[in-house]
Amino acid sequence: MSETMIRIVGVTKSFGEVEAVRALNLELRRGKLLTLLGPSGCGKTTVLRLLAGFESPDAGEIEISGRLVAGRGVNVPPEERRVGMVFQDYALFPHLSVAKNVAYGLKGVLRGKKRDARVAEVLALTRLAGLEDRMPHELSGGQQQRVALARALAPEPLLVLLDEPFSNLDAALRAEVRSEMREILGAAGATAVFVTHDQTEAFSFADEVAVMFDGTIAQVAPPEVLYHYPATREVAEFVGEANFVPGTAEGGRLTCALGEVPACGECAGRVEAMLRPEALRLRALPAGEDTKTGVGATVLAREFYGHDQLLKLRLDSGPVLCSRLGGGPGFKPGERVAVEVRGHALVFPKP
Amino acid sequence: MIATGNKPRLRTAVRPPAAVWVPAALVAAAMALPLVYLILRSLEAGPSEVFEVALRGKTLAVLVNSVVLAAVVTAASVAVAVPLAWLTGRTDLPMRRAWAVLAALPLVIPSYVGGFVMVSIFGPKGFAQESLAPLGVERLPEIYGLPGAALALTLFSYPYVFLTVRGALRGMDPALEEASRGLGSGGWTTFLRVTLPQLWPAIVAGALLVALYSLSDFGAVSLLQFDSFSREIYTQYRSAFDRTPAAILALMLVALTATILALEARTRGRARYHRSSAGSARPYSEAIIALGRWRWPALVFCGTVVLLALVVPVGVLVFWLVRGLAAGEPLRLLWGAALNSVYASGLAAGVAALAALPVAILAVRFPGRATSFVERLSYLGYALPGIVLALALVFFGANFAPGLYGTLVLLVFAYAIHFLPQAVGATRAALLQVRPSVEEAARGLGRRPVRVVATVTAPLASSGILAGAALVFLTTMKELPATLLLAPLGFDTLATSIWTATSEAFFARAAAPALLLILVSALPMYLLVIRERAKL
Repeated sequence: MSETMIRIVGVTKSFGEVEAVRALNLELRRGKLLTLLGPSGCGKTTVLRLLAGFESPDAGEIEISGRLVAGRGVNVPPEERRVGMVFQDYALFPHLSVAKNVAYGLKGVLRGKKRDARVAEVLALTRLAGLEDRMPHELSGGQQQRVALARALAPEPLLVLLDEPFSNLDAALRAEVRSEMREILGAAGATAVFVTHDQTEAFSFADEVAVMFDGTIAQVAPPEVLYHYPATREVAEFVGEANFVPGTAEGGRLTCALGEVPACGECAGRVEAMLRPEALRLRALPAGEDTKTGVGATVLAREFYGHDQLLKLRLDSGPVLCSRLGGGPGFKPGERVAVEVRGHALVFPKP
Repeated sequence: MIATGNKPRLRTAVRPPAAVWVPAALVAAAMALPLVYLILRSLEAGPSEVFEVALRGKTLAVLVNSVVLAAVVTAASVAVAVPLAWLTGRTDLPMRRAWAVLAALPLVIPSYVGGFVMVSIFGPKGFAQESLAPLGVERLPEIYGLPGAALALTLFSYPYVFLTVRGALRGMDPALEEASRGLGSGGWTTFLRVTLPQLWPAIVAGALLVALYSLSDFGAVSLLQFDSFSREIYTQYRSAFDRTPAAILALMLVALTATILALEARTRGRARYHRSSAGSARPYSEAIIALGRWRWPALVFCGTVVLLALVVPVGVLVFWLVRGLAAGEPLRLLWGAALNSVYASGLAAGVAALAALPVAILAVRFPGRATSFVERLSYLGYALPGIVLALALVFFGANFAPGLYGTLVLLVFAYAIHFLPQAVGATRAALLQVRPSVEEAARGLGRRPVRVVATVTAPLASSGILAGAALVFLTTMKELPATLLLAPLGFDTLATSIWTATSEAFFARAAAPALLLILVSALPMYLLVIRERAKL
């Protein structure tokens, strides 16, 4: 058994004039959960459909568990790829009961009692026991979702693909179903690829996140690496709020509007530095008092979220930045604050 | 719903599997066979004869007659059928199930029976005139010609539109209408902007069948003496030894049909009509609209249509039967003919439904130039008048397959070719309601394309496939010209028994087989309605 579950090399796919996927490379190890994160229209669903075999690449190769499934004249049809797919609209068979939906992929794989046992096992895993005889339209959204997952898992696929599976659930249910699914996939020991345009969803679900723009992958990394060490400015902006300030970098130090700050990044000289809002610490500055440490700023606006809050500031030297604080009392618009940097800035070459 | 997902799924990228395109191509080839003969037959004449036949005044008059007849019948059928389908499918009309059955039943009345009923009511010395004479009415408006033919054809062919539209209404997601109401549209606006566009493919499919039926009808236009193409072709064939003019006229009729098909294709557009929302559709029965005081006009409307299209014709037949029995006409046992009719029609329905499936899948799932060509070809058989189709097959059988000539195989082949469009139309409309992702899910779960069709596509589209098969069965029961020419020696059907009697003006003798034909073919109609009671 190969340790590499997915290997995509130089895959390109066009629909007429539109290049949906361009010379894309991607690898995923067995047992990992990968999220394909990108704005709508970036080609992430096409990657999923290429993996499942519903589309065939114009160029490049795709291997699943060490077996070539597309490219070099090979095109393995979807039914022979052992890839389970959970569709955005679930695509449950409306004429079959829950149990029969789940058993569908087991025909020719398991028979009689063994098949019933596998169906019961998967239904138990997905917490659907007792709903065997219901029809799909008699289930709630979250239940339909789990039936779709159970059906995909039943034939023990090498790989599970999930196409924006939470987009049809309401927000309250979404977080719950998401952690449920993660547990189920973990318990099943499945390797999974999950497509979403929602950064929170991507980070909380995956071991690794691949950010996609315009048909290519910009960066693949674990969520925390992606957040703190984005490869490009575009990635930095897509995976969360970011402050950008111009400055000069030299020997791990950055000089900018916020003073002298520790910096990491490959480049030196005139740079653009990225600071996450959490890196800016604020201290109240009574009227007339001068800053002993940090730089002076005025609060412009405040967005309170409960567990945290975002403050918009204007530095005395001009730039407008954003700071994230805990859910405490915080500061009101118009108040004076002193800004200090905790942690480091990430520097990018000046565009 | 028009699926406007953010990811355009351009299905042209996927080539259809051999299991779909090979049978579809075979079906298309079979469909092309009679047309090819027709062209070869016409080419045997020189260009001068072709132009001479095509451009003479009589031919042009026949052309105009046919176009006018088809247009009038199609428009009238849609005007009658769409309100009927909506009233019986989506409102709280009292006894709407019963009305649905009654409104669909006129389909079982053959046009030649309808024609003879029209003549015996409105003709000279008919029921209407005899009962109005004491009131001083000397003459009724002329029933022969366009008015009679259009009335008869509308009354007995509007159910094509009724059934396809009703099927589409049942498959519709009520959430769409609710969404429209929620967006601030009133009931009437919602019907025009949401419901009607959803029904459009079904209306067009039904209207197409009605238009093609009007063009190829032989029975009603013959009895009501309206010079349309098929009557003229038959006259040419019977009156002259030279079959070439008949072939040329038939070819012109094919050209007319091709024009109609091309117009239909332009109305289809790019919208997709399967549901693209999450989860499963709620049953349509949840979305019933209260008629309120409009129920009375609605009942009067349904009652009038059923009275004219069903009660009156059956009443007239019963009258003739009773009068014949009273006059000492023996009530012949017709079980042999009835069994022959059922047997041949059942075979034809099965063959047509099977042949329609690959063609419809190709058309719906793999749109493209080649597939739309195959789909168009599948409509050809219906466009060829029965008499021409039969002649073509007589020629083909005699020259290329003497073993098949005069056997049931050739007759069933003719039926299947002739009525395939009905099966394709119904299956296609049903497939449009099946989401592609459901089929992809089945493939991802390890099933080959053929198994996916058998376990997912066909069951989900089964109501449409069955509706198509039932339509083929019913129209085959009524089919006359091809049966007359291709039936094996001594293979009498109900249709041929009726024709023999009416053409000799023995109306009383025709009444018994006509009533039996109507009774026997009412059964599959009933089966269609039972499907409705079941879930879906």
